[in-house]
Amino acid sequence: MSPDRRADRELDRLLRQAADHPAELSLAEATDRFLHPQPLPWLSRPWYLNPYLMFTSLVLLFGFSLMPIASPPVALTSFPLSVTPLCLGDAVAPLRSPNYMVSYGRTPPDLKMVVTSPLLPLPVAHQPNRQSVYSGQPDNPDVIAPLASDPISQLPDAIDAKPVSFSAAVAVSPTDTLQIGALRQLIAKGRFQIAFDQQLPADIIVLYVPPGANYETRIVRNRILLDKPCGGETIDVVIGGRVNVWDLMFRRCARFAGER
Amino acid sequence: MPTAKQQRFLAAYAECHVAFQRYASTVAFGKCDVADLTQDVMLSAFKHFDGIAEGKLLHYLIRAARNRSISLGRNASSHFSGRGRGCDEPFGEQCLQRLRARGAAPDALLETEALYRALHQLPDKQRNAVVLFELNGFSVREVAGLQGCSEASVKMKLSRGRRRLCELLVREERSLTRLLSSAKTLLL
Repeated sequence: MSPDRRADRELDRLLRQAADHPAELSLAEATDRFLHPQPLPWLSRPWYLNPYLMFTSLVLLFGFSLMPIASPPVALTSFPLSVTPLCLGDAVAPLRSPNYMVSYGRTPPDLKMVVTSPLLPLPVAHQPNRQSVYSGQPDNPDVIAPLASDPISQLPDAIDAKPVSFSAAVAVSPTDTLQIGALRQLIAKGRFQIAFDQQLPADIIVLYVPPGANYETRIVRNRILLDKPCGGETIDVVIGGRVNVWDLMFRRCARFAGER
Repeated sequence: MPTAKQQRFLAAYAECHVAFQRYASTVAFGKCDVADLTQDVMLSAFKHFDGIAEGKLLHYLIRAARNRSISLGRNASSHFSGRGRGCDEPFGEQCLQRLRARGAAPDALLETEALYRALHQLPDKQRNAVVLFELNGFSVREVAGLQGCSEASVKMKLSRGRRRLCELLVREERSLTRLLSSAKTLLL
């Protein structure tokens, strides 16, 4: 017999033997395993003894703890309004853009959201004391001072956005001497400076008052300027710190609605 | 208590069990535990049981086992590269215990292991054709249907596969003989 033939026969024998080999699992074993599947060993442990789940939990915990640092607050990203006006020009120039956009940083400007937002009818309903401010007819000249003392509580309830930072804000009408007086009172309470750019057409003017600045000399100039470029416009005075964007926009929208 | 669907499935599976187990043993060889593979494939088949045509369950099981073994093979290192279970204990201790308990003779186990080792050195499609035809008893037409190729191609794979298996087994026998003779020389 040739070696090839012998090898072929041997292969046949081995294949036959393997074909007759008993199955590794009996039908009963396979059925039992199917009907009662065994969980993976690492899933059957309690989570605190489970290295996989423990690791995942730690990663999630660590990730969530870093989240506020890694990403800005939702209100800022979903509603791209944010101003840090360190002087008047910074704040006013973007406010005067066609879409009433306040642009800041890298956020793309898009203020259409604000103009069409349900914030428009809010001022009268939620801030009765400010009616005088927006209508230009002060019925209670003392409203200004309390506003400055607790400005955040004066914000409309419907604006649920978190202010970036807020120190004080007050609105006055330049034609109303009483309110100018109240403004002066306010100004007199602290040491600050009114920065005002008279070259800007007075649509809305934000007066940024940095804390610690000398106001005495500027206030005179301010009174002169108030009459000239502003006419009967509303003036927003923001005292100290960073401007609360929501408050600014609230005023802006309120006035916009009032004009219509 | 098994549900009606489970009972139907198990009744259909019982007819395929032996053939499927034989196939599963060859594809799981050196890669994973046959019991795990069987459970995986059975669960998959049960999930798709309603979509499997009557009488085609074995085909589904074989295809699923093959695909599962391929994905296992991708994840695991090469079976005979000297790492993992493949080289050191191709059958595995559990597997050997089960086979002995089911009456497998030790010399037959050794020879089967050698055959499986040789089979796993064949190209994937060639090995599948040989296993399906020689061990599972499928006809050439059925193997062609399972592999999605022509009958002529299956015949070619079978012929080449057998030739290659012979070579591999002869080589293994020679090396074993050489090893035995050198051991004898050393002892004497």
